[in-house]
Amino acid sequence: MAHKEQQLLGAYVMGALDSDERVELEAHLGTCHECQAELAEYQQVTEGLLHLATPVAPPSGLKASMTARLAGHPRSIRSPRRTGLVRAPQFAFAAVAVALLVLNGALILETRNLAERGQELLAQQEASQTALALASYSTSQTAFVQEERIWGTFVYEENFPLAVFNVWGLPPLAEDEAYQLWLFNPDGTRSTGALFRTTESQELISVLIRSPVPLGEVLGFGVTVEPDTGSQSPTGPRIIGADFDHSR
Amino acid sequence: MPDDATLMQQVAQGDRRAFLSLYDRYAARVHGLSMRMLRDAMSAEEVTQDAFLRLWTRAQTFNPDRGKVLSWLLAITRRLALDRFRLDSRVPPPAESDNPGEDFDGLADESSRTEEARWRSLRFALADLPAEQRLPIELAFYHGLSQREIAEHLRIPLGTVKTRVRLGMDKLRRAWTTDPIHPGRR
Repeated sequence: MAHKEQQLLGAYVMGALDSDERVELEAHLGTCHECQAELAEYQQVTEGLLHLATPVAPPSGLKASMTARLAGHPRSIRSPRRTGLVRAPQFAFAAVAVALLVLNGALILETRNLAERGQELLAQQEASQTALALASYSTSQTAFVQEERIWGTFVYEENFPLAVFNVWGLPPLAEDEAYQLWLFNPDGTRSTGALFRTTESQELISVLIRSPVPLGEVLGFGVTVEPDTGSQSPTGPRIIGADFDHSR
Repeated sequence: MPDDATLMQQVAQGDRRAFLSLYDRYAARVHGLSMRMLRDAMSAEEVTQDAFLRLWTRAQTFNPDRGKVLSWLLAITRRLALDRFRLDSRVPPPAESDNPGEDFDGLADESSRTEEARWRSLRFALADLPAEQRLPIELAFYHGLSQREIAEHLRIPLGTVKTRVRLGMDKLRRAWTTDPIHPGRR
């Protein structure tokens, strides 16, 4: 069954959509299997397009100068970064406007004391604004994950140590429990990316993820249920997670 | 000669010889894509170097179950070249489509493995597109322009660009997902 989002997939897979179209499409992709399947076909096309360029031998000196630079790049040190990530401020108005929309959609029926929810609201707003700021970079990546009735999008830019995990359908927890999001490091260790809870059935929760290294160096993530003070390592059941494919 | 996945595992352990083997194997492919996108020798050389350095620093994140080393490396190359466009004052993108026969000649003598056959099929499908569909796709994919920027660059309505990109990409997708063998072509 054709629907309007399918028309955007070809442009999306090349990174040619505007940021607002992109954000909308990614929200749709989180739940639409048909579009996910078609997207996978378009991704194969773009992979093929990569291979079409005529090979050109680089100058012979390049290998030597690169080998010399290897000495300055021991394992797992990030290479020098030249990208100036300064575009977020111009999206401030749009970020606040949409953040309020998200918050209203998720919390409009709530009647609890605002002071109690104050911290959670701020956290949600910060996460939403970060997500929008990330979405404004066409080099941002989105990983879609789904397990049974829970689905989510993990939005990151590989040079940033911040990311946002948008997740739908997480079951509410007991008072003494929390969700803990783990980041899998290349050396096999796990870091805590976030500790968060949802105590009533919110449709959408946005979580700000903090990583000790740029997200491009992280292998994947997982979410488990832990005591509300968090754990040093995963002890509870795994709810959802994914490995990253940083080449896309 | 070890296969790519084995070499990548060795690179992940810090094996420079394995790294240089991968360089010898794929430098021309990487540099070809850099040149195709950046059209400037110095910028292309820097991107080629950076792509291989990124392979070196991120080898542990490569997952062979997800695809080939070369595809991973070329995807990294494209990302770096696109980042480069945003930093440097860009060489103006072309206003006409390159002749695909000239620019996409590298596969003429490739092996007959299924994937290579599909890429040949894709090359034909791209060449078969009307130029008005092929050019926006090239501008988006190889030059990192958004549809809005393509419309401004070509001075045509945004809606027209969106339609041409959609139709062109849909044709490429169908070409990719159908049988790659074209009996009429040699």
